[in-house]
Amino acid sequence: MILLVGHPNVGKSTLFNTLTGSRQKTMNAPRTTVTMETGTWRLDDTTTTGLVDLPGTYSLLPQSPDEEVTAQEISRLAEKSAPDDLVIVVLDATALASSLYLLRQVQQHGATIIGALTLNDVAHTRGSTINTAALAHAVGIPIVELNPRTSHGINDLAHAVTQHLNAPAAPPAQQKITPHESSPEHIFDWVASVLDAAEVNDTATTTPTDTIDSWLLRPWLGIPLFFAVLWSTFHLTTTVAGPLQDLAESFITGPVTTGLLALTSALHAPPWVDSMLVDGLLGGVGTVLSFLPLMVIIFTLIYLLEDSGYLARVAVMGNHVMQKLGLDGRAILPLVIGFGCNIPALSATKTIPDSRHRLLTGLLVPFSSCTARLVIYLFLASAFFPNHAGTVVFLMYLASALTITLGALVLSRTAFRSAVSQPLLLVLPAYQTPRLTQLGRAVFIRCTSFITRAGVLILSLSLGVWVLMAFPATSEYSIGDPTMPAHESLFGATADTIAPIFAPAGFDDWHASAALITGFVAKEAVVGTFATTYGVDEPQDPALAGDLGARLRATFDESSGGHPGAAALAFMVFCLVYTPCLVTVAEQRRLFGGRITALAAAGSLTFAWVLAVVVFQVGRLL
Amino acid sequence: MLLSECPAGVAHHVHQVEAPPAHQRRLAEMGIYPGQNITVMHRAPFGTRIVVVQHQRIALDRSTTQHVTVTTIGA
Repeated sequence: MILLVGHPNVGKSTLFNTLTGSRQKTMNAPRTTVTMETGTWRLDDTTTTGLVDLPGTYSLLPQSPDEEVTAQEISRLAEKSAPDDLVIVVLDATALASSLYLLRQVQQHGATIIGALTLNDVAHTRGSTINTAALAHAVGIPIVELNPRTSHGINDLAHAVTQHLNAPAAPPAQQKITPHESSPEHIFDWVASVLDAAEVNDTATTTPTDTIDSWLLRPWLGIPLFFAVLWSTFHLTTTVAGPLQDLAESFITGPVTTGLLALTSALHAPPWVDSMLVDGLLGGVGTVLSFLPLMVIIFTLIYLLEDSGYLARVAVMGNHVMQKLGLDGRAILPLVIGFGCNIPALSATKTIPDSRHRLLTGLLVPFSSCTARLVIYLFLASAFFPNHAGTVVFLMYLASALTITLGALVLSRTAFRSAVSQPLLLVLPAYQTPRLTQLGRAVFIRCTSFITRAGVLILSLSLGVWVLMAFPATSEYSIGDPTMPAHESLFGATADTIAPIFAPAGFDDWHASAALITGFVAKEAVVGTFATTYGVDEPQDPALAGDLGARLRATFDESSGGHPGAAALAFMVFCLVYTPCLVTVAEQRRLFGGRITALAAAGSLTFAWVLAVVVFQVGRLL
Repeated sequence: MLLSECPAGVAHHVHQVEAPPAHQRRLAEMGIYPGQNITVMHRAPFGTRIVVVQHQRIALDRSTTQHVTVTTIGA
């Protein structure tokens, strides 16, 4: 087993991707939401070894759950002291002193180490010359110079590891380290002696990165540029991704559906098979596939932001505002993307290094009101408040921002108290030009993970919804009967059953609860469900509610006891707060695990219900 | 002088670091402890400073820079 350890942002993940290719998977460290990448590294034609990419850290004295996992894994490996075990410490040539600091800590744990010196090209441009052989001699371990971005030096590393595996040296004897010996001052004395002995020549000059930062971190230029980056990210995930999503979906609903139906009719399959394959199976496949272009875009953007080095500047700029909410500076990115679509926003939480902050942000993202919810607001606002529709829609966005703020303040003071607001302390990586090959590989790996890990859940939920829609509640109709009215299906029966729950919110009617059930699948479906359940055509423009609006007004007027406006507002607030769609559920489960996802869904349903009740009860007094 | 008041581009010695123990330890692990050299490189928005310590560029916010005192080298 080989562990990969190093600072954040030194290209450790790129190295891991290069070494393992797609032979890797993500796993959670036991009892945590901290993820580690594990994979298989093919050293040569005959030898393979297990490789684990541990969370990046500056120190083995942990200050976050992620750093704790790194420290624990290294201790475990050292205690086992198996001859094949090895730690590869990735050394950053542009931050050699603190890299050696980390290396020394790993050494003090008693692990066998091979050093991998990266970013030496960047260090070179600013006038540092590091003689790798002299450095290796001074530290007393093999050190290989490499560049994971160009794969330069990868073979040397494989060679060094093979040599160790063929002739495993006895692991260094575990020594008792005194508190004095593990103090930063003591270790830095050792670092200074190593740098001296290795004759590291470092004439500090201003680097190209410094010149760029002197512009990009300047308030009057840096802040507008920062907003421009946020704005472009938002637009790429909405206006650019939208048509591609429609294209992917129309491919499924068009040629694929036609082809499948031709096949089933040739096989004389009963009608319910058609219905299951088209509405259940292809519906799910279509959902996964339609999100694929969006995921490619967001994973590309995330990779470019991370790899170019700009993400660290996002953290610096976002820190001021986000810290007030108890969040990491980088949280601003997912929260903004969320107003376009929550799914890429959840994926973007991956950029946050501390797992507690990642989860906290992941729980807040669903409160960012996505564009699918806008359609609901437009429809209800035009149906119930035709003279103030614009104001109502604006208020809903305000409510979204307030819910995020409130959620952040409450969670960061309760369940996430331990994570809150460590002061900003961030090493700024040098700017680099991203490499196309590495980009392609990273995007491919992440998209595969989305399809395989989120896809399965999406497909099974989609089939579950089909069962509700296609199975009749009475024996009058057969399974999948296209003439069956929605109210006669299991779906209608379920909507009837849960409707009374919404009596205190003023919309205890099966049309409303039916729309909320399909809204759990996708918010785009809410207005369509109203149309289906009333047997009325869906309005072309949601802002012109028309006949459907009139029918809904009559229903809400009755269910709310004469306060339809308050009930409509409560319904909108419920739509804002409860689970955005089943794909977000699947993505949350992929990122944070099933237990947390179930808790989050239950929590947001409860929170949504309470808010809706408050809005209705206050609204009807006004 | 406080690090937050430091002019950019001039090397100083760290004199004293006042912070909660965990943060103080992490600052020391990044090379920010008494006796070490520190230079403010950029003055970023919202009082954030980019400092150079042992050739690395480190971003520190105001809550930190206001609790680090520095002295002019040679004084």
